[in-house]
Amino acid sequence: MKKLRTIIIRFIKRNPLYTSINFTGLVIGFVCVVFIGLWIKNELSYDRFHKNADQIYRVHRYFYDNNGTENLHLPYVAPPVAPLLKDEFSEIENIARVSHSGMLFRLNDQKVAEPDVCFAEPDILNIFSFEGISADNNLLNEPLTAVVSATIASKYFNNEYAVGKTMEFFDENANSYNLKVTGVFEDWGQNNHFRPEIIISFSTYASAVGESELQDWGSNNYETFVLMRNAPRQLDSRLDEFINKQFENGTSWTKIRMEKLADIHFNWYGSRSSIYVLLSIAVLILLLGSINYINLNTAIYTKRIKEIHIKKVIGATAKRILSLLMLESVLFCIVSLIVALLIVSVAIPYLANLFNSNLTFSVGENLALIAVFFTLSIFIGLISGVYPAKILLTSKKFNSTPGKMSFRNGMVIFQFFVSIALIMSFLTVNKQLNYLQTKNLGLNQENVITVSASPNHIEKLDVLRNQLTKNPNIIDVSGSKRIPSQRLADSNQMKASNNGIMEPLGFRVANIRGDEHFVPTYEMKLIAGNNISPQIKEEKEYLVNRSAVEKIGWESPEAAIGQFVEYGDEKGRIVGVLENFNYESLHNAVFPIILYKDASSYNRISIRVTPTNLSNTIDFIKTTWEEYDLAGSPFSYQFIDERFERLYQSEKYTKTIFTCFMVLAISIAILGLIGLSLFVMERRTKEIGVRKVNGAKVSEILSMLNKDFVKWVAIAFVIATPIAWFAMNKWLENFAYRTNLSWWIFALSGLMALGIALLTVSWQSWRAATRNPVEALRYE
Amino acid sequence: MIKTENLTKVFRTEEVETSALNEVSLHVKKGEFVAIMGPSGCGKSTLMNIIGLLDNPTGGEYYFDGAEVGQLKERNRTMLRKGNIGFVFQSFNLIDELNVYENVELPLIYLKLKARERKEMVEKVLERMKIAHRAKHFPQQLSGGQQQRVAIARAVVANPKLILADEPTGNLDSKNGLEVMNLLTELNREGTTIVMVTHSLHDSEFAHRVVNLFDGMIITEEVKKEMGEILL
Repeated sequence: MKKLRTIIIRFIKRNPLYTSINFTGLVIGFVCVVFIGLWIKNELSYDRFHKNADQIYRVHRYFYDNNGTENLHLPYVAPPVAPLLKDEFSEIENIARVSHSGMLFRLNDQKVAEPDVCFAEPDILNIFSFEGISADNNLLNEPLTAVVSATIASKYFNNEYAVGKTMEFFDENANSYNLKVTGVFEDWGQNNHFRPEIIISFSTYASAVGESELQDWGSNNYETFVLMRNAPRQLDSRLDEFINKQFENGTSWTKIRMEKLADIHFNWYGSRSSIYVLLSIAVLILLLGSINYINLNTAIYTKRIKEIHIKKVIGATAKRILSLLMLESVLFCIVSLIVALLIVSVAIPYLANLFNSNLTFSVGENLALIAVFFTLSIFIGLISGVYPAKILLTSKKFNSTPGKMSFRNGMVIFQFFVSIALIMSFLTVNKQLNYLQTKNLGLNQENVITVSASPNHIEKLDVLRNQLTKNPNIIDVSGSKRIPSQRLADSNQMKASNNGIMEPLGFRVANIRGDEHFVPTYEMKLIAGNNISPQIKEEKEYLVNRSAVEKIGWESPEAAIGQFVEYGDEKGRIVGVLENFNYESLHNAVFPIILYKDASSYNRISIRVTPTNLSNTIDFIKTTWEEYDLAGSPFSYQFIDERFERLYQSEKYTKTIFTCFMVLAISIAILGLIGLSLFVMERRTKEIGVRKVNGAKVSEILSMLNKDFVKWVAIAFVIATPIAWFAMNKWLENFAYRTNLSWWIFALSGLMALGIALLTVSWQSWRAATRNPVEALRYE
Repeated sequence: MIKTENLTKVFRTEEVETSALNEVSLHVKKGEFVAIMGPSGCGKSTLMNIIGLLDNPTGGEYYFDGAEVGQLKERNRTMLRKGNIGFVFQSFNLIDELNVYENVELPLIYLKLKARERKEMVEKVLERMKIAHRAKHFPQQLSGGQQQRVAIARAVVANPKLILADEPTGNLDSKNGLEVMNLLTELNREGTTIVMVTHSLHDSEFAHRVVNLFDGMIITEEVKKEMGEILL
């Protein structure tokens, strides 16, 4: 053992370049694997905290056009669904409706906004794992009772025993209520999509909204959780029967489905495919690292052939030599893994930040994972040790250069294939992101500030607007329900006449409810007719977009003007047609939209400002807004363009991921290339000498040496192009609006790879080519 | 043809400075066959490398065909070497990946001759070296004597003025060695100047003149036979 150590240390000292290339490559590989391993473990842990996670479902609702295409999918259902389901399905042990709402609470003398508040039925306590509250099921039965998280309890009651105490909250009209805390549960941690801090009894809510709301099949605002006794059979067809029982032929326009709790994260927030992509990237990077390791080891071993042969001559058995070499290789891998683990533990906050994740890394919590890593590193040590060792042991001559070149070339081609494919992907993702961020939306999202609006703000909207527009930097002010960048989830049945007969339309027409200032505030373009008028007209005025005109079948935007329509039983006329605009993210295509006034529903105010003196303008908006805010809620504002940017957050992380892994893959490929070129140059030293003696110029030698590498990059390019093209096309299909895969993306990727390869190799080949041939031939 | 004046060569490593040549003055006339002898490490190979324009001397002057070439840059040395000087080594130094034909063709490629011309010249020299039947073979498939004949073929294919042979028979048995020496003598008779480094007294008998080197200095010179016709 000691002898082995001495030999290894001496060898490292004599070959620092080889050793550091080898080591760096492996460490990079392991860092990726460790990080991705932690990432995947974290992703898989979502909603798994709950003891019954596998038996918990969430009820969803779908809507369909007449031709059967889905036009809306909501993770919420209407309030009548839950009690009816419970009667119908004997497997349902518990079912609970949840209505989410942010609210103001009194903390000392201040009003504090609590975002994670919900009203929930008592069964919620049996469905999810609430640690720390009594098993008593009556905690949420009474109106004005609540259970709160430990965080909330300590925030409001300074670590005093909270149960039995009261909290004061305010509704949107600033009426205050006292809430009795009946239980405190331990915090759930980050990885739950449903993360309530304050759960108020549903009866509180029911008495506020009244019975009619709870019977409304159109109010799909209730997240509904189910705990199943056992795995239900033929669930989908029974749910269809259930719907058809409620509505005749109901499944032709709506369906409900149940989604497993454990699937929610992947279906709505993360994606399973990203797990597979990351897993394959981890495998690839580790593979690249191991390839380098094998390559370099084989190259290094040429320097050790003498040592091995002398050992053999002296009497060491092949088995003994082999086991020593393998031990060396495994030790090397384990050391690399340990260094990688150290790097990750230091770098994890930065990495987590980069990927907008809550990842942490503590050895104690990840023992199993770390055990997997060690097994992996031993495995890699064995695998990558055995090939060079075998070659070494079977080589006959003292000075022969072992190993088939083709195997090594193949590995370098593979590394370049991966690098080129990643460069291509990176460029495509980048191009698409640029496209998304610069595409003309058909509305002007820049310089618009949005603030929330209480009923009082809306009631006094005209006064408020007059006051605001006195400021020269405020151009227009509009009240609306939902603002651009939000989902247009509201829709109603629409009737229109195409050939004289009023008929219900067979497709969904989403609505924007906004005042006459909405169109000018967002600088939307009217292509026919006029904007809705400020006065309340006898006949309701509607605006539609071009898509609605086309789908209804009116000949032209002009032909739509004056058309008589009914929207959710409200009769009225089309007064104007808007050019299509992208209200939602560019993942979604433009669909039919109708815009009309409905002041009672407004909850947002949009303010178009000039870019000058912005902070003063915002201060001005704040003071004005606060004047009309009876509830004393804290003022907050957002820029619409920033909201739009946030819609592409996930693409930005995709880009970050591709950037990171591209850089890593290229670094590993460069390391591999340095190793291989070192090896090749050493191998061809004599040939280079002979050629120079026979009249070859340095430039001729250089081009001869680099030719092979160029060839490998070319082969890698040819393989990478169709694969990257296919994969990126698939990725782009996520978007309704997408950039095209330009030829230059591919050309540039190839050139970059070629440039990198040539620079790396030329460093070596220049040294080899300018060497005095005498030195090369002297060793013969 | 070759004239050196007080040629010195010093090798420096980090710690030691070794003087390999010490004021060597040597004249080789056109058409002459000169053998350089001396024990290992006496500077024979260093002298050969400088004469062969593979290396520059540290000091002194070197005239090749009348021109001072001692301090030429590598680029210019290569230009001058091409087509003018052919090399024969003890260990043959054939390229394993190339076959006999391609090995011999090498200097012609770097002279940028056309393929047809090259073919003619290579075939002619292979014929002459009695190795034409092996043109498609690779060096590993040949005997030592055959390999050295290929090496000589490569050295002479471009009709150089000078052949430098570094122990050409060192790796050969006596029969093959004799054959090589006969080939060199024949080339010399046809007018090629030859400088040969050797350990072998027997081989040195083929030369017109033997120069004895010791510790980087010429200690004796002996004329073995007169040149039939001395061309200056």
